[in-house]
Amino acid sequence: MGKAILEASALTKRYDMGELQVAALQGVDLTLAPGELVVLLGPSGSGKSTLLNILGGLDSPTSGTLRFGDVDLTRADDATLTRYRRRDVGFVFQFYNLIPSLTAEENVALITDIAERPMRPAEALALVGLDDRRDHFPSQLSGGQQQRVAIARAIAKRPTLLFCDEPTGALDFATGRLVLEVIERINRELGAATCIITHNASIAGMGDRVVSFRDGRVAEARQNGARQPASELTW
Amino acid sequence: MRALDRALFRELSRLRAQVLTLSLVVAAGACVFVAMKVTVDALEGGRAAYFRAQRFADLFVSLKRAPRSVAERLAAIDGVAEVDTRIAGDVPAFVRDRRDPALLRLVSLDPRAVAPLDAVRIRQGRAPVADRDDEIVLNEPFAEANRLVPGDSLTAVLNGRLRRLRVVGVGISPEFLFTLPPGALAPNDERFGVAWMAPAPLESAFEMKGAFNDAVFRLAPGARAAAVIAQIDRLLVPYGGRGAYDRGDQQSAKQLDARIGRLHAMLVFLPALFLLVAAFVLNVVLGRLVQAQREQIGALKAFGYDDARLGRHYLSLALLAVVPGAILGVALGLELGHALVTLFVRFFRLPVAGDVLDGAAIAGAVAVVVGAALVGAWQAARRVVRLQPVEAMRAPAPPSFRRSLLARVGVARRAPAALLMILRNIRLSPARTLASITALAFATALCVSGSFLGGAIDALMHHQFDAAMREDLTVAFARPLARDSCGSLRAIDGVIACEPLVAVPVRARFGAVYHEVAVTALPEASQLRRIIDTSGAPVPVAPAGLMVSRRLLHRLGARVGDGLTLETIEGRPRRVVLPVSAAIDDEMGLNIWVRLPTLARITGDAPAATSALLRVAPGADARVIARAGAMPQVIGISSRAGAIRDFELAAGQSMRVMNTILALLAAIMAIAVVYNGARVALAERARDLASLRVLGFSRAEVSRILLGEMGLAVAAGVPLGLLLGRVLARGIVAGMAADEFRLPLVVTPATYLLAVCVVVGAAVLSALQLRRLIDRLDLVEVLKTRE
Repeated sequence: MGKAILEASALTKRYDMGELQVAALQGVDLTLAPGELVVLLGPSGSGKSTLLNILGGLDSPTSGTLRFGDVDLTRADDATLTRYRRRDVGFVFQFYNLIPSLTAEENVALITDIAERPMRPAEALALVGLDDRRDHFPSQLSGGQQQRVAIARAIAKRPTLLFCDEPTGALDFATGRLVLEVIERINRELGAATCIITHNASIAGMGDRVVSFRDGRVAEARQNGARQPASELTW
Repeated sequence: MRALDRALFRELSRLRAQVLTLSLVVAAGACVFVAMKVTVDALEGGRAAYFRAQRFADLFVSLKRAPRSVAERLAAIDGVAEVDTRIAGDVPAFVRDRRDPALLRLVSLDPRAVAPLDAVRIRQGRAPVADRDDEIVLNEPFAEANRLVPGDSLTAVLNGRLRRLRVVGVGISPEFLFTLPPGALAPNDERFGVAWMAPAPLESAFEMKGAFNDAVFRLAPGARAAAVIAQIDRLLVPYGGRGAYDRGDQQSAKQLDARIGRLHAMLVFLPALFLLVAAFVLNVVLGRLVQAQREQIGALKAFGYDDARLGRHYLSLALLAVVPGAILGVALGLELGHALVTLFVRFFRLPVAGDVLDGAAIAGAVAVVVGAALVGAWQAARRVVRLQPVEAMRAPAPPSFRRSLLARVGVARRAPAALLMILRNIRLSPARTLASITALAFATALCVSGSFLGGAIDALMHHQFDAAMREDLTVAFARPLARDSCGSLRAIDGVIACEPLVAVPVRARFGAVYHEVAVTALPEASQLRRIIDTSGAPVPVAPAGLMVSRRLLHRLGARVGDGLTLETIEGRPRRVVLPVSAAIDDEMGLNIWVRLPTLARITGDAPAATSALLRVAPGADARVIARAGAMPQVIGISSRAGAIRDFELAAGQSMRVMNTILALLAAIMAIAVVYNGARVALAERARDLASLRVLGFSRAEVSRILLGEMGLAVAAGVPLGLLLGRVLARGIVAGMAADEFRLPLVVTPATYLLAVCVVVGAAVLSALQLRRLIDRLDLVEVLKTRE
């Protein structure tokens, strides 16, 4: 495993809820190395989504540091975070967040239009096995297909980091496994450091590392000896 | 308060920015409606009361001379209830030490008459005494313009002799509320006035002993004016009758009518425009609200709220949303109406005004505002009623997008995806986009039609005063003089050039229709006066036949090639038929232009000069006016500079105020349309836009996508509005066309530019406000929820 590309140390995040302070993260350390696939495991409310939002440049920590390569993202301004998300981060969301007025290919093109050295939209769709659906609108695609379009959209910019937030949360088992297979293949072929957030412990096996969350803290971090192929996962 | 009502107020408070912009549009509509209605009602009421009180005549006629016995025959005409005869004539008059004469129309006023028609209302002083031959009552506008009050005096040329006339009173009559000096473009109260005096001095001054040359009539109830006019005209032929006419052609009544009529047009047009836009804005805002509250509506229906109750809820929301605007508009409208009534009553010199606190105006405004609100909310309420609970609680079916033909053949493949987003969203709700475009076009057109008048008047003035009238002074002669009469004028120090102008009043007749006009002949190759058409180009007089104003041809129903019968009004009665050889689109007056030989055929003798045009050395105006004014043959002198000043005074100031108001209203309209449209678009696309921000789009890029849609509507609406504005301007020009002048349809680039700036500026203002909302989009929230 090479040198870490993303380093978070002692991250905390507190939300002020009137008189109450809610600590969503309480001193989290995490690193991501190029090409690595990490599964963040935890029940809902454990703080994993908060962590992902901070790692992905959507939110800032209350304290701690976050470095991407040489760039300190801890106190970065909106422009820096936007640039970071635009150039280096690919996102896959639970609810796909596709633009309903654009076809599959156009949804991907939306990102390649503003990326620096993107692949062609068609190429990205081919990588997720949807080259025959490129002229379909989201409403004409199944949930699994929509999620694969979202993956194509995330990877078309050739991101350094790929964050997947509950990518199978809205899908049935067969479709969910198919999506995980795509993520696994993308990670291998493109070498983007990939982070999958899930509450589904059965997915843990496909990662190089598994980090378990509880109450805003890392409860356990373990290295898997060998990655379990996504096609063999069951739940 | 019931829970549902509480929800109503919370929703209103949440939508306050949109309610505010909506209120402004509603307020503008209600304000204009109330102000105009109050003004029109007060003026019409005041006019009717005034006409009644002063016994304003129904028919009017002037003639050469008829013995008093003819009056009895006139009174005997079927349909005539009453006739009053008078002596009237124009004389030059000198006020204080001014050397150039003003033109004074003297009208006989019999102090012994009981309840005469067109009674003079004495506002200061008293009426003249019957046996005093030097007492006059001055028409108020003339008295004010010359600062003359009872006790002052002026001199006038009567019977070739200079006579001192003592002002004993100042009064006003419905017949002379508005006076236009003969041949002038704008009123000039300083140089043209009316004076009433006892009949005796006028009998001797105008050689009317036992005779009259003017009569006014009251019609019997149910009498037909046209039939009576025909009989009067027939009866007066031997006495040089100049054709009777009714109030519709009476100068003063006509001007008053036209002015009130213009207010009337605004009363309908402006509020309609605003309330249409208000209805549209409500439609958009409520449409979105119902969409967003689908699940709530479904749940409420499931709990047992019935359709009518929920439909009423949304209609109430619409009504409450327009209440602040309506209150504000009515209050402002009453204020503005009060100011306008005061202004117009003064301007129209109506001695009385109707009631200003006009219940009908307020009720009318409330009715139209409520109407607009209901129209705007109808669609949303209907959707609420039709929504089935089960269906409502499910997420709405995703909109079905289609790829356009262009996209399918590959053209759109190259288009940026962000642009495609904008275009497809427009295509998803074409009616809304179309309405946005229309409303923006309205705003633009409103601005154009409000502000083009300034430019059009400038063009008219340029045509008239720079291209057509190149003389510095016009000297009117008391009676036609030999054509070489320029000699004595040319001898005045400071006169550079003098050209005689020959004009003969005629009755131009085509079939049964006739009109009194002047036939004018200019010297060949005139340097001082040219004939100009609406494009501003000089037009040479046709070598033979008549060159006639197109508006006059239109009035007569004649065309080029037809023969017009011309009957002389003064001098030896003659009747000649001459062909119309050309029509001219001129702007000033109804004219017939001829060459001198043609004029000689009309009059039957050598044409005589009726006035002279002078060019004067710089700075010599006053000297020349003084010298020429002292000449006995001169009845009046008008200067080009004075005419320009009068015209600017009459037209310029009110235009500027109107421009500012309309530009402001246009801006309000544009802001309401753009802001609400984009606000709703933002609500509908917040999730998409936040997703884009997460995916690395900058704030500016996301703003461009949202505002691009409005930008396209502005880009389509503004040019459309410029076109529509031009169409409106054409209508306004046609509506304002009077006998005296016709504005050229000139819409200057500056006018278009102003409209573009106002509407685009308003759009940019709204966009900046929205940009702040876009910057506050919650990026994290959007990822957690499914729409």
